Amino acid sequence: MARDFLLEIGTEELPSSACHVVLDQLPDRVRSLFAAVEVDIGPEAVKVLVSPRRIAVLVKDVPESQTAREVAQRGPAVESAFDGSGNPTPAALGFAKAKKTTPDQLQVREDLASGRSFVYYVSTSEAKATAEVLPDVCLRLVRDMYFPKNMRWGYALRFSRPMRWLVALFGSEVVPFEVAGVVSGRQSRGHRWLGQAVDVGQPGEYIDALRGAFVMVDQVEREAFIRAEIARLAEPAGLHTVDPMNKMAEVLHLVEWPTVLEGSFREDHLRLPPEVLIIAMQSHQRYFPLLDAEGALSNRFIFVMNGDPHHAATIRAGNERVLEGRIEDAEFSFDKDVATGIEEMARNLDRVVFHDKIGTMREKADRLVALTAWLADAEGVTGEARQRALEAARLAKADQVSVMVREFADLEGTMGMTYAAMEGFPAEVAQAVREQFLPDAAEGALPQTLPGSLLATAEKVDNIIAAFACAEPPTGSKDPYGLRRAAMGMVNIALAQEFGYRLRPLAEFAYTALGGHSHLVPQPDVVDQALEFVLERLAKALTDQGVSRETVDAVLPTSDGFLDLRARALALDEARRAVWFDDLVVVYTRPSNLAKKLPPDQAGPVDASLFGPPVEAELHDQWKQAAARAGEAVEEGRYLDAMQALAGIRPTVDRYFDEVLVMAEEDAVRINRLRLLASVAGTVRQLAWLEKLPG
Amino acid sequence: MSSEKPTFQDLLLGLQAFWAARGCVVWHPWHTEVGAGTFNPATFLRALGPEPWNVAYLEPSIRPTDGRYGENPYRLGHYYQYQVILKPAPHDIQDLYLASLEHVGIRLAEHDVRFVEDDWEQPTLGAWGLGWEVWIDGMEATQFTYFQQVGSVDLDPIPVELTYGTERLAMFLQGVDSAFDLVWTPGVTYGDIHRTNEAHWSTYNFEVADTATMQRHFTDYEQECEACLARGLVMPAYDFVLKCSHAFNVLDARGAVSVTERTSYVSRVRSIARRVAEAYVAMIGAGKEA
Repeated sequence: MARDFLLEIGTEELPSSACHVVLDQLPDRVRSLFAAVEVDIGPEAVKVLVSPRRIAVLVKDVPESQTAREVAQRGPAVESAFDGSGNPTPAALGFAKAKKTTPDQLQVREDLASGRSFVYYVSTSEAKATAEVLPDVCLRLVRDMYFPKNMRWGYALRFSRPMRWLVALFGSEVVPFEVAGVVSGRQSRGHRWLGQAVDVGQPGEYIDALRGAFVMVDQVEREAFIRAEIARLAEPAGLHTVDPMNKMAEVLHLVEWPTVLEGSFREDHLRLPPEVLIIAMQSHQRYFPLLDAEGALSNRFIFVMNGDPHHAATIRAGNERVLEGRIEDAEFSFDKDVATGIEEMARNLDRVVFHDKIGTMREKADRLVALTAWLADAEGVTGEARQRALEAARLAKADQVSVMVREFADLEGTMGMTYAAMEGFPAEVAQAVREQFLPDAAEGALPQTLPGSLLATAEKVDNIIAAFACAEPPTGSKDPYGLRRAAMGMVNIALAQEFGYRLRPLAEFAYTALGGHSHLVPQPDVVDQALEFVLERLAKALTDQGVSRETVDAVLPTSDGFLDLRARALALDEARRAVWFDDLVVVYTRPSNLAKKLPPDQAGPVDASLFGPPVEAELHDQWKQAAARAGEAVEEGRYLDAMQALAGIRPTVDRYFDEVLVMAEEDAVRINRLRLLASVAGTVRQLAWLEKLPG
Repeated sequence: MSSEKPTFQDLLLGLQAFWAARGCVVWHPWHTEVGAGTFNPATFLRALGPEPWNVAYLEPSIRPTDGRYGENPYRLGHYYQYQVILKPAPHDIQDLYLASLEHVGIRLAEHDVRFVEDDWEQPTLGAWGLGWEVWIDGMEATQFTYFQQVGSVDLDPIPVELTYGTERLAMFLQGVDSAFDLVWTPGVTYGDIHRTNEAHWSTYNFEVADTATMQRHFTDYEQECEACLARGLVMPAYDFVLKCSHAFNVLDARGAVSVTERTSYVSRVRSIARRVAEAYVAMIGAGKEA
């Protein structure tokens, strides 16, 4: 015999985020709780249902009792439990007595750990009735529920929102328990307006009983219903919804008895940029904007209500009025901005402080112009593209003083783009203003235009250098300015646009551009820290592409350009698979180890007149030739060839160590030999720090 | 309530009568500028400590950045919140609240009333709580919050705060699209009473207010607060917190506050608010022992 189990936790309206966490985590917790109390349930037996006012756990076919388990208690070792003729010794008799049994009931088993045999008293655990353990299961389910954010409302229990009723049934019997002043029973509550209190006879009737009280408790059914209704309303008109802010995840848990309706707003509002209208519909109201087949925004939208469908007309009219108000409010702000004009906004930037240590937004805008110019020069961008990049940089921050961005911070860049376009700036300039913030997510889209790529890089460098200069770098999980994403953006833009700029001079220029503000971290520290920080993002990008971390670490100290470092890393990765790679390691490792014995103040050129055995001059010549070939290859970005050229001198290196005593008695000779070895190692080290590689 | 559309003052009187009948002290607006009813000491101070406290009052909320020169039908730099605090929060508080809406003339069964997650926070007061904004047909009608902390102090028992947006509710009841068109009482509109006020204060807050003066006020009030705290004068110390907060709001409206400066101003106000809250808790604790 088995019965179904139901626990319904009735609450005041739960946040959608809490509903999603419950759906993600509760099924596993239910399974592990049943396992912990040794009541066996099937792998597919657990179902968790969530709606705004309830969390329900349904478990099918719960057995009547715990599963009885074998309990084996170990007694004396077999050799001391029985005498030579197989009769129990006093030790065995004593053990049997202690276990209230007779020696003939004891079993001999091998202990797997020691390999020795012992006598055991084997019994079966007491299997309690499930009904006896369920109150505790219910209590623990409620008490240990995990939510991202908890509240108190007058009891020790913390929960997402106050708990107001409990239904707990095992078959048709109530599972009695009490928590936070609420006693379990069989009475649930229906929809707040449409339904009434409802008695649940047994768990199998739960879903239908609630449906009768106007609660569609199964979230899967609810979502399918909403989606089907949206399609039914939109498709005949050739429209489709968009949901860029993923409001469906919230709407789903804002309704117990959904009715999907279409509404509209005044057509003349379509003069506003679509982004503004979409934000007005989505951010507060959680409506779904409707687009036509060409992707143009219509003046219609879909929303989901929870009230009485008989009053749909009133409810629609109310929602339309609210949206109309929000749009008119946005329109009011928009018109103010248009009247002000983007040039005037740009002039007003000195009224807004960017950071109290490094001045105003105006100064920031000036830095963006300077940095964009530096980057354009570094990348050889001239003519119209350069001009447009500089224009975009000049206007980039203007919308920071707009009313719209003040109201809707998410629209920064978008409003700047819109206002620039409205005032007749070239489309590329307007687009670059928007693109300064790209990529705006981990795998987000990159700027499409060249001016936008330059400006976006300038914006990110300035943010990073400013934060390090103000001693506010990201630490641990704290990255309030989103600098990790910014650095990753620099890397991705550079790799996509094949920007070859060098980071160190860029960082130095960016620091100098901060001007004479006091209390800043000194330049060398800022530049070093910022470089390390940004290059770590490059390392991540390269390892994500499959280059090994050691390879990346070996090349990172050799350059400060993203593109260059990528070429070096890819070359070393390939070299490590080449047959001659061991030769390169030898050419590097022994000379480099010995070269450490060269006192730093003794570094200098090799003196051929001090050579002894002929192999010394030979190594010197071969090194010079190989270094020249490698240098040529590096110039042309052929790092693999450069490494192979240096690997080629291995036979000479081997012979050198066979025939030459490096640590000669005579100081001048010894130092000269160490200098040669330092030169050999140094040449390889310009390509890779091989000591960073394993083995 | 008559079957005719309620006037603005019908709404306010209705809320007063409803909550007075449920045992609330009917309090009154505070005498210095506050950004919300929460700032009134009837909420901020009385939410602290163990004593039960039920209070209801209308609070003119002064929000310089929200001013629109009286030209925008939805935005006001001066508007009226109706504030209710019930400590401890009753079990049936949602039903009680909904009954108050019925009482002022909203037939709930004919509308779509929803409790939409909105975790409320007032960083300058170190106050936060969990709850909802209550929607009526998509309109945000009330902020409904179970306070968890006030003045950075954990609360016990937990109070509930209801903040009704009175203009919106009245616009809903009267079916008008501009706050200024609301009938305050027959023959007098909201606009008659407030439009000039909105225009003048918007001009002052956005264009005239002297930034240096306001910055100086902020620092002066902060010092006065310190001086009061040093003498154990909790009540005037708290009023100086309010004055600091308002000076900051004016600076903000003038566009004189950057993102990072904002953080610094807010944390300065929060810090004195916390010390006032702690001094208040110590004071009522000592009172009980005496």
